Amino acid sequence: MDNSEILTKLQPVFQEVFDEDDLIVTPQMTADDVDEWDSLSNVRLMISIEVEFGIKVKASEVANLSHVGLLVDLISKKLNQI
Amino acid sequence: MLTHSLNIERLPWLIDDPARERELFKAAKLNNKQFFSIAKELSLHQSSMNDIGTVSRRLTKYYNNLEDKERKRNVKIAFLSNTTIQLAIEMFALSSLRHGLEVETMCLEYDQASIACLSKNKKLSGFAPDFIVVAFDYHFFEGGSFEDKLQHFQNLRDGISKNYNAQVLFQNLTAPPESLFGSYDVLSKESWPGKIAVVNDAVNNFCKEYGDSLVDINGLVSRIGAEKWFDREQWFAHKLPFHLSFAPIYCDIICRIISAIKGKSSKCLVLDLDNTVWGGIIGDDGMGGIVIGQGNSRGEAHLDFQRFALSLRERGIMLAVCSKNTDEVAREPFKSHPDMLLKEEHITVFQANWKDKASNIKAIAKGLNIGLDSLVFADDNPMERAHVRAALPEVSVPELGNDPANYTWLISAAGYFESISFSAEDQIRAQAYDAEAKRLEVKEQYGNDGDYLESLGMKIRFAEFDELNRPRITQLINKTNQFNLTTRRYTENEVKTFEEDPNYFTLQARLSDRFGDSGMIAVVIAKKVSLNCLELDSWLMSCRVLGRKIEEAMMQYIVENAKATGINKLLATYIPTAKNSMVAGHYEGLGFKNKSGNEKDLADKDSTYWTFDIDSYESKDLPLEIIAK
Repeated sequence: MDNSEILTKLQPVFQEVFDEDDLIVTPQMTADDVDEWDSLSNVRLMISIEVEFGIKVKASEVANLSHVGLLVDLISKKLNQI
Repeated sequence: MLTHSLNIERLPWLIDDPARERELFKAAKLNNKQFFSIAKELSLHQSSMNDIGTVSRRLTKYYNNLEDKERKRNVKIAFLSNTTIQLAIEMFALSSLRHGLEVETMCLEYDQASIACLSKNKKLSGFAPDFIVVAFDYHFFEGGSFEDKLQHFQNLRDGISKNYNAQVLFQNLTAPPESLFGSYDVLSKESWPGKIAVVNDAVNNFCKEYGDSLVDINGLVSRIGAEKWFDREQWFAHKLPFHLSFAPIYCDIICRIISAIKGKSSKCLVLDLDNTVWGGIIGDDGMGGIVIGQGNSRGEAHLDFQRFALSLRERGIMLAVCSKNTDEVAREPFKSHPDMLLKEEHITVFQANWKDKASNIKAIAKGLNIGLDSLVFADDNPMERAHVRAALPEVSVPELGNDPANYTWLISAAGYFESISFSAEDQIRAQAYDAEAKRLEVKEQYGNDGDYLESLGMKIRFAEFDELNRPRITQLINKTNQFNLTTRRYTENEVKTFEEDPNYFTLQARLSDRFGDSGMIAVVIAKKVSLNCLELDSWLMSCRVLGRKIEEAMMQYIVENAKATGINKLLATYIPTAKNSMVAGHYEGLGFKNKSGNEKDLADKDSTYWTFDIDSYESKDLPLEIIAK
């Protein structure tokens, strides 16, 4: 799966977790750009990503992700490890 | 041997229809007038964690926008936990809909919970919860002196009673999957199993001492497996108490308990017959062809399901049959199949005919005099299940599948019949309902009431008050609201004085008929106010026995007694309340004359006053045998 495919797959996950049907996910997106993206919904997001991609994400790995592009990189790395 | 690959966290008894679930989920996001009813339907479906969370959050917003008046009936539940339980209870709103409840939740941050127990927390008080769920986990007991922690735990419980006025649901604890010695953990006091056993003893005591309701999380975790339940990473990162995928079943477990507390648990299991109670189709396969027990796995599974149904009945849940067969053919196995565990006498209402099942289920509810939402319908046929769900959405219809090996597991895992207690009354409830159902059956067979009443073979026993029955007499006096002429409440001591005072005439009535004993059903207290005048102070009767001419029988007994003691006049009063309008015409019906409008009436202008001339009494033919002591 290449990065653009990961981004495409992330879209419905984001839309569901943040309850926004028209949310478009871009690599530059940050938590500030999304209304309901707080620490609690971040947990929900990470768990959903784990379930969706079948990967396990460590809290330390996610802590320093400033924007979605880095999240996509992380997912890609995990998928290649499987 | 029972095998199943059903996971409790998926709530597999809920409707398995992913296409419809998606439709409902999309519709729920439209935020229109149908939102609430769509959410209600969605709650009955198997759904993903995210879907449940999303719709629950919307439901919470919906409640926030309601008028105060409509919001009043919402049940408010507060959670106190040393863990980050917010994400889990976010799913509560949707789960509660399937239990007939509209729930709003709140919880405090994990580090505020303890303090909130010991001193009033403004946010918690302001929320004014109906229920407080105490959801502490083993981490509370980590480190330091275990004895101190235990004392602290006790202090927290005491504090809750002091500071808040809500019914408490207390969660028991689970030991983490972390062994200290190995197998010796079980016998040691230092290991987690050892410590948690002590803590759970304390929790059991809270339930006995404070009347808390126990939430058996320990039981849930042992079904799921502690290894799966605890997510170490999520605890270290966010103090999540368990993996979020278990949040839906967690919420469901708590909803059931609250539903049980509110008396909303199901009361009757309605059974299809073919391929549900036995293997095969009785109409086609006949007595020799249906499979029950007989040492093969299919037969044994059906037999086990029968055993489960019987055990439900023994704890007070009624059984009914709803089958597409002729009545005679359907009853035969109950009558004479050697391997049947269930017999006709175990089935309170037996509906076997060719009508549609929804009509029959309605008749069953009517026959038992309970709501449709108190019924659980077990049928192996997905078309029948769909038909009943569509026609009667209040009836619980588990996704039974068609493997009898899973029937017992599914119905018990779903928790439809959750109960928080078991009393003597529960034990005999099934018989009492049986008796009433049989009476109703008989009533429908008769064209008129007179013949029906005669057929009951009623016997009524009259006696004056006595010590043995004093508690029951006092109970009736204090809890009867509808058929109560004056609603005067007396303590047991006051009842005792009536017993002993020769100026008082007292009457307790017990009723039985050929279907069963209804026990004590009526009470009269009367005072001799002059040599020849008796005033009826209290006259009350149980609503269960209306319309059986019992009042006339009691009048006859009162009159006979009056004559024997030189009384020639009866006085009576009717004091109206919000609940007793049904007896406004009681004395008129018995031939009393209305004497309202006299001077002494000014004290209570709505009451009515009556007199009866004993000589004017005309004896009537009554369908009861009177046995007087």
